Amino acid sequence: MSRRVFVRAVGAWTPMRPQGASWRESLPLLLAGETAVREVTHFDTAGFPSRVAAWIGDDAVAAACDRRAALTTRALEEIEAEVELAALAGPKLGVFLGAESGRASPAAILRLAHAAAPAGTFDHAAFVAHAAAAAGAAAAVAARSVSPAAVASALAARLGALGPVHTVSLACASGASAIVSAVRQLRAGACDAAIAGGVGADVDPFMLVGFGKLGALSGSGLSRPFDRARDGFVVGEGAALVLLTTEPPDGDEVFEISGVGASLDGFHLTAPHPQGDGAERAMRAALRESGRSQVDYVQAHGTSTALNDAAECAALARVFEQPVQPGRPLVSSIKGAVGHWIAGAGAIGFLCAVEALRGNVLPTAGLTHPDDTCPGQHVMGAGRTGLALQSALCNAFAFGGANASLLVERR
Amino acid sequence: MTAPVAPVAIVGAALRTARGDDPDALARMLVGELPPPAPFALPAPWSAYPVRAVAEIPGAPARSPHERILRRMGLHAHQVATEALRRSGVACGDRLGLYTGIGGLRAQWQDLIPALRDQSADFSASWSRGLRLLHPYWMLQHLSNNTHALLSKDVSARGEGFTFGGANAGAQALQAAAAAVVTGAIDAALVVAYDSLLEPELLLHWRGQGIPSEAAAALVLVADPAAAATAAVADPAAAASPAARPAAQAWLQARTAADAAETSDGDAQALPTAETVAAACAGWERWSHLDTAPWIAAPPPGPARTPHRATHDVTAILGDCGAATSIVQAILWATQLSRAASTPDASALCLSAGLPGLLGAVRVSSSR
Repeated sequence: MSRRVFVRAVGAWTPMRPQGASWRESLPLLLAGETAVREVTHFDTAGFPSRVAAWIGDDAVAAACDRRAALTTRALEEIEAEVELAALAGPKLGVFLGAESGRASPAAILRLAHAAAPAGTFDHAAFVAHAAAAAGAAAAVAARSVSPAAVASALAARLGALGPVHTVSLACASGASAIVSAVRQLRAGACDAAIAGGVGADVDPFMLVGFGKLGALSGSGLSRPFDRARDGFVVGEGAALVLLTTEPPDGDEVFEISGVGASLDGFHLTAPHPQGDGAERAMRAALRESGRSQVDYVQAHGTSTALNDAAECAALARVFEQPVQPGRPLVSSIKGAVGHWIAGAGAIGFLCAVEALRGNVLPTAGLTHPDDTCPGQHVMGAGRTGLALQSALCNAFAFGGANASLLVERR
Repeated sequence: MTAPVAPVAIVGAALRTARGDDPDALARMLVGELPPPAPFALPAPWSAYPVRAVAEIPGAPARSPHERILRRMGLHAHQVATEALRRSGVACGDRLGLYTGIGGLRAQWQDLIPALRDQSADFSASWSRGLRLLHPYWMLQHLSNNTHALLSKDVSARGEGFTFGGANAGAQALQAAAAAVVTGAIDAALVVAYDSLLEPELLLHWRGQGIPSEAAAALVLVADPAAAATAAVADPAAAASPAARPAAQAWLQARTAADAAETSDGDAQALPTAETVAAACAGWERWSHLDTAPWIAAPPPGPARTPHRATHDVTAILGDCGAATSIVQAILWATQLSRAASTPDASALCLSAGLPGLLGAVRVSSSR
């Protein structure tokens, strides 16, 4: 029989305050239905398809060589304040992080591009010759800064983790998939404890333009998952981590990840399967592992795009077509409040699922008129507190049809 | 650390390297049965960089409808994955997982320069000064899982799927795939990794360890080839043919570790420390062949498994294949151990390392 996996502690760094906020600091604001989406002012967005984001204006984060690492460190500090992580150091501690490749600052990229293309086309000799003059810029594109694995590797070094270290770069499913990977390795005995989660740091000109030209961003500048007026997602940034252990924690709050599921649509590069076939299989796999047929709450992927939200709700309707309790499962998406963290999205979603088991169900900020294509027991307006929930499911679905579901239960 | 995940069988493989795509010939090169190949050259444009040679995959990938999305290495990866799956005889569908390893996204300067050429130093009015010129597919061309997504569609891999990133991403993909196969989350795993270190921003920082190279490599893993022979082959006609059934070439286990500890000058540790290597290889001290580059800290010696313990270095014949190295090693040693029937209990411990502080460790054995 495989080993059990428990949630020992959580930490996050979110955009719910302009300078950034811990998970504990974010919760009252999230429960009140507030949103962190605001106009981007730290670079010029004139003409951009979308000019808003849920971004963090922390000067220290902005000055960091690697924004992903700076955000992740803030999230880790919240866990470190609660748990003596040094006691876990060694070969039985692993690190599993959802993260995409890093990017140098636009200024650094620009300096290198200008150095390399004096005549308008890339010139290797000029690139080498002039890179020294742009030394800071050159360093910013070195592997320590841009490797997708740089953040996980730095975390492992900081924690003294000598166990497995994985970096999942699976677009919007990265964070949840990293937790799936952690659960697998914990169950298999490759480690006894793991820091797992994800980070998104995509509020920069290239990403806003890239997603915008793809037609994925909200033209209205509003993130409103499941709403009839939804018109695309809003980019957000932040980091969320969990400490997972195979030993149950002391105290009254014992949360176990009892099921994980993952699947591939095998359907299209960008569009989800219209009926949410892959999403359904991921959810059913997580339910099957946990031995459950129902859950009390679903933290949906809920991006605020027309196709994704409809496909996810169609899958939810099939998976939970016979609710044991009326009004369940409750459904909400954190992306209305903090935007879409891409590689970090599933990780912050998982924290919401855990929070639901603490009695606090966060609402879908921005949702006022649920679309007919998005049926469900949506939590709108303010959140709900004081609930006694036993189980929660977290979904994360990616471009390319990669799906991950995490089922957590109160023990 | 114990070895908790049981070995899984390799039942199909394919690769592209700077020395070709024949695993048998490459394995013979690796163990010295073929003469040392001619040294790699330093052709233009790479002669502009502070490297002594580069190792390029000869020739372009076969033409593909995915050329508008996938770059050269992504196309190679797509093709080797398709070949490996076909050779395995394993069925597609909901029980086939897909695990991809990539080194990381590259700048792709040729795409950026038109958008950056007229930008001002403060990046003001960046849209009108050029960002508007980025192709609508630019994001998809730079999606870390674009190859993964197109592969899953094309080969109908609908089980679970992951894309891992970093210089040891191939080992990460192998470790995750093996755990999924052993625990029964899927019946079979298609694992593919690809990387090219022949990129301007990477060569700018080359530290002189090995020849920068590139590779795409794929293999298919199952927990039990005998079971897979009856359960996995979808085509009844093919199932009737023993030749189409999966046959184990060798057995594999994989581990990963990382420690980007900072050095005294504030730079990130280039390679994993000896302590990290030792922890990752714990329990694997008995081997007949060690495949490692000289700059990687060797694991502590254990009792000899056989009278013959030999050290080899895949990077010496192929160059540094980055994230693909672990899978290249696995394929070559599976080929070699399957061929060398005179040593039925042979095993190879294969190490690879890359920036920043990333370690891949794969153990390939001729028996379970």
